[in-house]
Amino acid sequence: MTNKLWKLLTSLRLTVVLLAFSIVLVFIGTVAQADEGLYQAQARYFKHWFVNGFTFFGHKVPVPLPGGYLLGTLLLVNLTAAHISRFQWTWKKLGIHLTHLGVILLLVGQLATDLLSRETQMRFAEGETRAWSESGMDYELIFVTDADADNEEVVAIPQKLLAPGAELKHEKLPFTVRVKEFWPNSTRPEFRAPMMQSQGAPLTTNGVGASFNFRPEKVTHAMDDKNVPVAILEIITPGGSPGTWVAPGWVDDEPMSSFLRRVWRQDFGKQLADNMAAKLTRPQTIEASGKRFTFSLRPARTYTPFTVTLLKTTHTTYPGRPDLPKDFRSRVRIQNPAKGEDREVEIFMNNPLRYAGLTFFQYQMVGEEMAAQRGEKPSSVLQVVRNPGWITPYAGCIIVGVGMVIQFMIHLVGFVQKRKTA
Amino acid sequence: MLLALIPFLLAGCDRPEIRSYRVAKETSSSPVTWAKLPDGWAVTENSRMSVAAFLVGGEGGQTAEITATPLPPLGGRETDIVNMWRQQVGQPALGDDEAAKQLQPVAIGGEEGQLFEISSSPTNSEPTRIVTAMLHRKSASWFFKLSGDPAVVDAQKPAFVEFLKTVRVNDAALAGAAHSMAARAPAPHSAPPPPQNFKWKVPEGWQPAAPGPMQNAKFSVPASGGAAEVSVSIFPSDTGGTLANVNRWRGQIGLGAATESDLASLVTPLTASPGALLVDMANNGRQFIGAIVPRGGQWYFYKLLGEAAAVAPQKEKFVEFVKSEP
Repeated sequence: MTNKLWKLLTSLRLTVVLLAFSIVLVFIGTVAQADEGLYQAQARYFKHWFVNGFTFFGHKVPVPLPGGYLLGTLLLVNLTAAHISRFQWTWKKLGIHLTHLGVILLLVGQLATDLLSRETQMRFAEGETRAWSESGMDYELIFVTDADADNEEVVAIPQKLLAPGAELKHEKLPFTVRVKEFWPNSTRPEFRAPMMQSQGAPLTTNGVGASFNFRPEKVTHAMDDKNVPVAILEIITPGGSPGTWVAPGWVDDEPMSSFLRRVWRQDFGKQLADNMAAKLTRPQTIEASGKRFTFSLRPARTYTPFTVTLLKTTHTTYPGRPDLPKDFRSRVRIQNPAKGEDREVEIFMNNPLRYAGLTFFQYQMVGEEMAAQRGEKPSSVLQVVRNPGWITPYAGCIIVGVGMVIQFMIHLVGFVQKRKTA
Repeated sequence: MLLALIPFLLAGCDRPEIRSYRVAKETSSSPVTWAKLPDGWAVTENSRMSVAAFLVGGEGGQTAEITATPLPPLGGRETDIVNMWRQQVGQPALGDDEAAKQLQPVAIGGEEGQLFEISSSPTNSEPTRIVTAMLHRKSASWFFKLSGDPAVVDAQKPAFVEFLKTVRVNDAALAGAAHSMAARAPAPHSAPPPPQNFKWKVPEGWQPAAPGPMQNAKFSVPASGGAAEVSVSIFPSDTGGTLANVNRWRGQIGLGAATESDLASLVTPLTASPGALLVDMANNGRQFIGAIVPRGGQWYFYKLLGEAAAVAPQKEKFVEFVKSEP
């Protein structure tokens, strides 16, 4: 039995079958992106062990497939087992050993990248300083209270824990948060005129819920769209419940609140739009055990032990083509008190900054001209990538290349010597 | 081979959990925050210069407004400030010494500010009382004003003083809003902007005026019998329905709230649009003619308000204006 299993794991047939399935999965997963969206398709087809039915040109096909994780793991096991099984330490096979080692490194490196890498965005206007970057997709519910004169204590609850009915507690919170509703996506907030009992009862009479109507919306997978969640929360203190609040993702998600402001300005004029925006972004607070907590549902943050200040944005286009960007670059200042570091760096297309295990890529920009049109300051967005396994593809490819060259040379030298002998 | 499986085991451990951490305080994006609103205060729309505004009602339907307004630093110009407010309520200007006597110390968010009170002249037809607290800082002077019906202002003064203690002002947040504030501030000598993008026919004699907060158009209506004005506001909803709006309008001419059953006798349907209605109310020599017209998914609120002698002759023109396509 063990022998049979070992034989199977080391067989070339298994390699061929797995590669064939991989080709099918890559094809189906790529086609499915049109229906399911890039992130959803990547997650469902390549980041799962099994795919429970797939979408093919708009049709749902109820056929299970092995997922990317399963195929990758089996390929890795197959390759490693075959290598061990057929391993012979002779110089003549050095090239083959190196090539196998390189392929194993590529597979493991890709797996590590997939599991450990994180992509976030650092978004700031000129003159602003950031010590954090934020997720483009995930949100967190935060409760913030004063710790001392200069610092604040933050309790962050990831979006994944905000399931309807969940009761969330933490030692730093003198209350329980009961999740009454959680909508992964919501429609644009609808303004209710102040001091009015608008059509239908408001979701709550506390905070932002008194001024805006919020409604759930179908989750979107489109690349040019975004899911903006809304949580309806009841706070429960030892003395009872002070009430229910709405925590909308629209408030502290800068691109979304900026989008709302632009749409409202178009629809209602600047004055009313600014007024509505001020009402939407007014901090919501609750008091418990003598402490005041400000709360909001914001894009999940990752903090850095250093600060980045956006000093200057430069956005140039080709002459006569104002729609075609030629170059956009951000001049930033890095300050790291722990290392006594304070320097300026330019980040531009194909010239990322690598610092403290992070890579900062130039991602988006609102240049001076567009900012002036919108009545905003010029701003920039840097893609911040943490990928501990970033070196493995480079190392893997070099090892495979060296292995192939060595193997070729061994054969070439052998061939030439044979001809000389003949 | 086992090493290769470690990432999978790690992935299994990557469960979401509640985190807590301490970070340096962020600069709030809101220029003014407060701990708790006093009972009865409701957030209302900001006026042109204010960054926060509240409304509080009295027992007889009278109201008072509370606003927070940042202005460029005005420290050392206390006499001018006091006289500016005195002028607003028709009181004569004071000299430096007299003006200084008006100022009392008051706590504003842990800092010491100054407070003064002014009442309108007894001959004023609309008695007004203003309590102003000011805090001069390096980059801005902050004004917190409680103004309105004298009885309401007197009743709310203790709550106002308590509120001031919890207020936090954030000058840094003003920097981002500076150009927006500048844009909101009326240009001192510019002509009022004409109503924009409207096709309606404005009745003869109505003069376009600068629309107030939440208004899309405004006209002053010159009349020999007194002053009146017309305003138009457009909202994406009915802002609470007919009863809520009618009661808000009743409050503006000192009438008490009506009930749902009173509505039928108060409103008359208009042929402008299905669901359109007109309301005509008067009290103490003032008249209010209002119209609510649903059009194309929006609600148009028309208001003709002023002294009854000036409003009544304009009713017909007003109704025609309301019916015309905007």
